[in-house]
Amino acid sequence: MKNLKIKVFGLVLLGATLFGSCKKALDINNDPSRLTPDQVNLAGQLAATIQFTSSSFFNAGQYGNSYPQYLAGFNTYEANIDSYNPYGFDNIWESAYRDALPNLKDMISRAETLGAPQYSGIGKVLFALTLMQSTDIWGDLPYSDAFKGPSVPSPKYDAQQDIYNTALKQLLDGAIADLAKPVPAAASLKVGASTDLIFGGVIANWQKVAYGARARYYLHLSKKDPSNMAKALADAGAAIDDQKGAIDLQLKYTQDRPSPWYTNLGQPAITAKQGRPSYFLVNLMNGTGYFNGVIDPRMPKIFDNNGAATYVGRPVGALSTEQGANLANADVTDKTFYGARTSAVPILTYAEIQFIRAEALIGTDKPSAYTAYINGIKGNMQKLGVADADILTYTTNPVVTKGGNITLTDIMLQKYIALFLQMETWTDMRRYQYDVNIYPGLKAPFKDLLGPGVYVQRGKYPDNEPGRNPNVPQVANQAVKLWLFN
Amino acid sequence: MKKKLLLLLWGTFLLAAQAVAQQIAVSGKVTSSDDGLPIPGVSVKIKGSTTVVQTNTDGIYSIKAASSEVLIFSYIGMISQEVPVGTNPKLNVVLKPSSNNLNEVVVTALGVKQQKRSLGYATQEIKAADITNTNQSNLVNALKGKASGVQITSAGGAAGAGSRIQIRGINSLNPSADNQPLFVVDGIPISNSTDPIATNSDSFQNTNRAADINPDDIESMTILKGPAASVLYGLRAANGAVIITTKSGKSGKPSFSFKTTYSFDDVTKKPPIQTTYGNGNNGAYVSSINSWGPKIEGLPTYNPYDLFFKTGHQAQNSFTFSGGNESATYFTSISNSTQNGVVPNSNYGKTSIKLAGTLKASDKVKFEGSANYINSGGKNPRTGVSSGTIFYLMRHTNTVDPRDYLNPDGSEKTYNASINNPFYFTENAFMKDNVNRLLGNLGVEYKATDWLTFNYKAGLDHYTDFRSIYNEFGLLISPLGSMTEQHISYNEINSNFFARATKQFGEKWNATFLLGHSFTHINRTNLSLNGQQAVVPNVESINNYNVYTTTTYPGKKNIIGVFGDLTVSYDNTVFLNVTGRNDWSSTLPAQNRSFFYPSTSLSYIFTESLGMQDNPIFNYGKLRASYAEVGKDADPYQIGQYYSTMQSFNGGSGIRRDIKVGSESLRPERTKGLEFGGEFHFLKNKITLDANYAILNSIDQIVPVPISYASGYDIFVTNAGKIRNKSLEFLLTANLINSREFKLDLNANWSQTKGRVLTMPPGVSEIQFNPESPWVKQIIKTGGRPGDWYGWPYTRVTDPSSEYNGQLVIGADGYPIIPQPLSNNYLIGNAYPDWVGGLGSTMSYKGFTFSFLFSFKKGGDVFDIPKTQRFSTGVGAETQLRNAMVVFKGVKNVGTADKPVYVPNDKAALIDQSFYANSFPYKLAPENNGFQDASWIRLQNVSLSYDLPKKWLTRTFIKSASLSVTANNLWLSTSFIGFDPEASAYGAGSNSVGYVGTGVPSTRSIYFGLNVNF
Repeated sequence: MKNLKIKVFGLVLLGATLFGSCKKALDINNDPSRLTPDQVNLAGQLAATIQFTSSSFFNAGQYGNSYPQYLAGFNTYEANIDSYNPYGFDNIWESAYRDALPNLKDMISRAETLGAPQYSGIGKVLFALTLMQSTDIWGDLPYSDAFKGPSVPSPKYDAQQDIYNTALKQLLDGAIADLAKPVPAAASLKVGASTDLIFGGVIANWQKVAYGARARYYLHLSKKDPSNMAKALADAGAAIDDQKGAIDLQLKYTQDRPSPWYTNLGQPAITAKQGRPSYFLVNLMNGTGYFNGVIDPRMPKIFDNNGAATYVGRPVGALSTEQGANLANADVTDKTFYGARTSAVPILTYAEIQFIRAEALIGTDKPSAYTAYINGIKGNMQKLGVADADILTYTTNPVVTKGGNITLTDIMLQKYIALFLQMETWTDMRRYQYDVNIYPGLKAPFKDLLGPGVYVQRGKYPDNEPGRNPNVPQVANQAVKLWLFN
Repeated sequence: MKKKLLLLLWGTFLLAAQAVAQQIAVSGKVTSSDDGLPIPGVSVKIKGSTTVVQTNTDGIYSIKAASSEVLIFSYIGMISQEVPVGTNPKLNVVLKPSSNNLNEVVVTALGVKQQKRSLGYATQEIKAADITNTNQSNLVNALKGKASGVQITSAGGAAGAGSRIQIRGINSLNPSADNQPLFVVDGIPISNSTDPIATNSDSFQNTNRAADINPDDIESMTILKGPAASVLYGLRAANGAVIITTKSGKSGKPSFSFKTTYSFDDVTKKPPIQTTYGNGNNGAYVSSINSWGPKIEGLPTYNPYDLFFKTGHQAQNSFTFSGGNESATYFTSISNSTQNGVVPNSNYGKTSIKLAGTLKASDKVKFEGSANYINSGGKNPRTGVSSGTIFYLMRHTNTVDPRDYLNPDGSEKTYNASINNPFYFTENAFMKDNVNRLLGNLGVEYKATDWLTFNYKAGLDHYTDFRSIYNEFGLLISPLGSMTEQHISYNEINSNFFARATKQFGEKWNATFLLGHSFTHINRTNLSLNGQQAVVPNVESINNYNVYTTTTYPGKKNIIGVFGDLTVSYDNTVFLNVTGRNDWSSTLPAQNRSFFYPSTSLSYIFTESLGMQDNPIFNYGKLRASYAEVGKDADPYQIGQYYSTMQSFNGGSGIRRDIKVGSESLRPERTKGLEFGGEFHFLKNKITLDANYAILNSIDQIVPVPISYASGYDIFVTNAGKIRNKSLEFLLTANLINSREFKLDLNANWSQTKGRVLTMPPGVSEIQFNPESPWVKQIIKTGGRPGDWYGWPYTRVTDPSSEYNGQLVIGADGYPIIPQPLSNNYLIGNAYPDWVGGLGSTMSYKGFTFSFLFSFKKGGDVFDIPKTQRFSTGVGAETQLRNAMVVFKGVKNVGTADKPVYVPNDKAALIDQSFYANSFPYKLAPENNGFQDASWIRLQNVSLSYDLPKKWLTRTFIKSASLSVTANNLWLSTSFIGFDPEASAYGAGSNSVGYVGTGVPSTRSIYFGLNVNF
């Protein structure tokens, strides 16, 4: 029995030792492979948010391009989204609301806490551009209640009116103010060259972007209040001013990290491409459309027709057997400007700024409007690498110049060509409600699920959201106009 | 038959010897009627006294008794015998096995053997022979159709494909939670992970790690179904447990056995294709992957399925060698199995070497230990729901020979650039894996006194899985080529200590108390190196890429547990058991990491109280009831907010916030189970019925709640939601004939589990499980059941007073209509079956044994992904009807929307490619999009074996030999059109049940086997 007692004592001792080491054994729940919030730095957040913003602009263009009729659905996408088959735009929602905006918000508040105004300024301008693109697609969106973490798991939706009048205004004004503040001395608070993937830390360029973003903003609101045109014009004057496109807001992809347009459209075989340049777009450039008889020298830069004599686009919303869809020959391939492996995803360009100026001036100062119009065309052509002689030929062709007596139609159509693959164009078209006087030759999709001749007015809310958020607005269909265009 | 040294609790005590007059020393040998071998450990008791002795390893006993007394010889699994002492000092006894083991023991928690009659909860034991007879190399598959309340879903017919086992329904709302039971080998838990390459991965049907165990090493498997049964294993057994006891050596002459089998495997069931229309679109030949072309006239046609799948083979060889003496035993086994799959370029192999031994150091100290080394792995092609071998195969047209897939320069030859040739793809997109695993344990038992035992056992499960996933340059999924090397390392250490005291009070009362401590350490690392953009095509090396991403997913957790278990019994008739366990888990916040959970169970053999033991009609009846709670912890690193670094972009590295955030006040999950059941024997044990009803409530679930992206996150890990599962299980066995020459057994099982979601996390109306397409979604919401399918069925007349009630409503265009708006989802079915069952029989005549097992599944809707592809590509036989005007059977509304007036439809509609492939509403309706009822009857297993007559072998060294032919999954009857609907698209580790048709399809196998003992 004595022996037993010793053993029991031994076990108790062993037990006590085990319990003593308990706490140590249990305090092991920190993931060594990830960063805790205090290990995060602004420079890393900037590199991430620039990529997210670029992705969200690409994603909007990827499927959204059917709406401004840049691309007509092809292969498995024929007569699909371009026929207004309800498409939830989940990838746009994901890249904007899940990736870009929360990380931008996180970076802005960290920068404000630490006193790094240039970081918060860049954050605000990217935030504003992404939110503006999103509200132009969907209208009402979460903002005032959004990005508060799991304590508000289902944020309410703010009216588009409030997003425009309050949120975007504050963000853009704030961005301009923050960027103008003195640069802090501490290196960790200065925007560094390596993680500012767009401008390498040149704040002056970001300032021009911020003015350009606000010019775009005022232009959008010009229909609500024509006095915004003057504000747009004023901001455009302080915006991106390099005609060669060297300081356009765009992320240039690399050999290692190929452009999403390359992966999505440039690289796939013709039998796997989701879309082809539309009839409307190609006709504007091949001399059969509005700019009658003018062969646009940009065609070989942005389309690949495999060496054919002419460029033919594809009708929108049609099957391959319908409307001469089988005759189309123009494609976006890896040999084209946007489809190349190292191409950029443009977000805000010199050309757009010039067309904003032209549009703002056309009613009041036609000669200045004309100058901006020609600058816009030249800027886009230079960026695409069109030869100077060809630029001169095109910009002196009377069909293009109209002897200086251009109209809103000329401006909007040249802007349409220059902003190829950008969703900003869809906002333009809805501002003018697809007016055939502004967009001559434009036709509703051949097969139109919204009803014959009806144009799409808004994006369908993402499929992902209703199960998670009961506040998603109920909208009858995609033909219901947004507040901005009412 | 069992011949283990089993200590009957109430039989182990020696009280002071009674002074009885005229005692003589009686001794003798106890042997078995089965094989004439001695039985060690038989208890020999003087009737009416407490004097008990046991036979030694040679079956010899000796006892002092008066000549007027009667000796009772009893042994688990044998019919007890009473023999008057008389005057003969030599009493040899032959015990007969009881055909229906009233005294059957089962192995329950911690390797403790308990009398089945004492258990207050449901368990089911599967014997070694029932496992090895199936020739399944994955032991989980060997349970198919046999265990009630247990659902086994294999991931298909890929070589080495994993299988999922689930007991009594889904307990967790968490789409990625582990709802599978804990696997325990010889008292030590092991990993049964599938280590999918991503959550809900459809790319590969990875092996579940329990498949590493050599089935020939298994002595028995016990399935502990509810929390009451598994509570002592703690939180990891919240979904039940599968307790595996492996074979050990027996004292006596060394014994050798050798088993070899060879199989022929082929695909059970293939979808039908049409061979009337060829390649093209809209009736014309154009370059397209589709089969919507012109009529095939005079051209050869090809069935891609028939040409692609081949006969697979499995070869298994297993050798065991065991023996021992009174103080030590040993068991060794070596087994090897190789498999060539039914898909080209696929294989799997497994080699297991096991050593196990016991050593009796003294009367009080006994050691046991085992080590098992396993090497397994193979090669399988990539599959998937939107690309992959089977996906391309099911889209392949019928007028192109898929075998003609190489150009003279070795590049891929394909009839259209939107499809990869399935043969070419199979050879160029695959995963290889190689697992090296060591399972080891060492235990010591110290019998301090005759009523107190200490037991300590430590075990190790260590494996590394080296995987290489290759996608050749130029494939549609990898135009630039890609490759991933994944190194998974898993290390689990378990330490269990318990003390067990047992004491008899007076004649009838008995108590057993167990107190224990356990420690579990799990350390999992996963290092993944992904290379993109091959430098040179056709070079399978991770060095051959331009861009690399390295990621590591570590996971470490510790669990400490303390537990106690008290059983009190009265007259071996009423048993009351109370347990408690407290766990401390490292994965929970410090303030919530300690949690306690109790259980209690009661069983009562009422026939004994009523004296009905000898009743010829109803001789045994037991009622049981139990209540138990089990806590469940979280996965490692779920709490709080983390950020991750991103792949470098042009020299600038990004930091992003993780989209998953965990509650800082996470609490353990709780599962509360209430169970009632009974076991009833009729006609002198000829018929046995076991019935069980269980209610399981899982509350405070740790759920990754999907929250609006606008919150800034995708997932919030928090406690929320409640699920209730109700299960009803029946198990019937009948020994109809049991003569010397002819034996006939029947067994049947039936079970039903109904789950219900009682509450959802606040602010979340529904959680979607892996929505594959916008057409059919699995959604759980309050009041629903796990596995509920939602979609948009055709609109039908729903007016009981209408003569057209139930008929389709046809639109003005002549096509059926679906309800609008599409934002409303309609419940269209459930992925879980209404009930499942098995019916089997074994009959033997002389040396021949024939057995079969049918399994049944009623209900259980699946979403058959290939059907949408067969429709849209026009290769499916269903699209044979085309280019015709059809009047849909149904009614049209000639009234208003509010006041409908229905008349029979007479509007004809065109059925053409656009209708099948593009017509949006048509594709939406579950009637067309692949949604199908997958009820089935299948002949799970049929086997014929022949034992060579012993007289043929007398002059050889061979003790016994048998030949067998076995078939698994030989016959399937189902209304389902497509591949065998069993195989889940998302693999064995996923809770996304019911998505089928994109993995390598299930196979039927015929095995030829030879078994020799010498």
